[in-house]
Amino acid sequence: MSKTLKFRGKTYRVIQSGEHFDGKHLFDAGGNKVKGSVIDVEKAATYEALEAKPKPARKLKMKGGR
Amino acid sequence: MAKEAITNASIYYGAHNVSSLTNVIGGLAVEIEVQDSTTFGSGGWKESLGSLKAATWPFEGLFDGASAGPHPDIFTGAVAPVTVSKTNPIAAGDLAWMLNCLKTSDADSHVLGELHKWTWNFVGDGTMARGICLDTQALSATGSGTGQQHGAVSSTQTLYAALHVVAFNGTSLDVKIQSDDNSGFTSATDRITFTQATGVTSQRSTLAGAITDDWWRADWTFVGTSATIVVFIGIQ
Repeated sequence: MSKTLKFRGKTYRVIQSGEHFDGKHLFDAGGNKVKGSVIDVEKAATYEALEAKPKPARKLKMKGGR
Repeated sequence: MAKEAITNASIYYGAHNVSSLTNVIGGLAVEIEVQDSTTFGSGGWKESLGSLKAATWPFEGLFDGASAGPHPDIFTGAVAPVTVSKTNPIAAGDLAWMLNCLKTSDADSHVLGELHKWTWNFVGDGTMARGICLDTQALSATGSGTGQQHGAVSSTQTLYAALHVVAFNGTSLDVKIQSDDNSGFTSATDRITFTQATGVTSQRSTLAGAITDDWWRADWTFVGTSATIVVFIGIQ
């Protein structure tokens, strides 16, 4: 899983092996706090699946129809 | 926190709701085995290190001799989840204590003129978890419960879940624990999938963190007429 993921215009940082999530913040392998929105690997997979899902085709509006 | 009198409780043992058979919930005792870690330079005082943790849980109540009741379990030596809450009827969000238990004794008393009583003793198999009732449902169709905001799971924590199917009239029931980062569950992620139930049953399952979602709900696929389930989760 890549380190970052874009979902609905927002960029998320995916937790990597060896990193520590304390329930609120993410700390990298060196113990440094990582800024930004954090998601775990399973959630990232859900987001990827939702992003890959084809959007329903737009319905054309009829103008002046009878 | 104020003082309170114990006037009610919900007790689920395996596939049984034993609340109306029980009148004493003994102290849930969690003990830590102490190891002597004294060395030279300990300043003349003994030093101690906590080692293994163990939980025991005694209960007392009134006997119900139904063949499918909770008493014959003593002969199988099976481990089953025991969950207790101080509210009855139980509702989503209520505080609960969950322990996977081995029933080590089941003794009943026969005294002339007195009620037929029993005493049970349970020994924990694994972690005792403090959590909430995630959902309680009388099902007749497939669906999802209302989400509860119970918090994220850190890298060092574990999600504990217990499912009690206490009534079942149908073909199959698949229950999942889902999480999300919003109460509407627009991007729900499956976290725990219990083994398919085909009758009254109970299960306990765990999942190690990290999980960044903080909203939780139960989701079920039911083929049949009716079923009653109670689902608990805890993060520890």
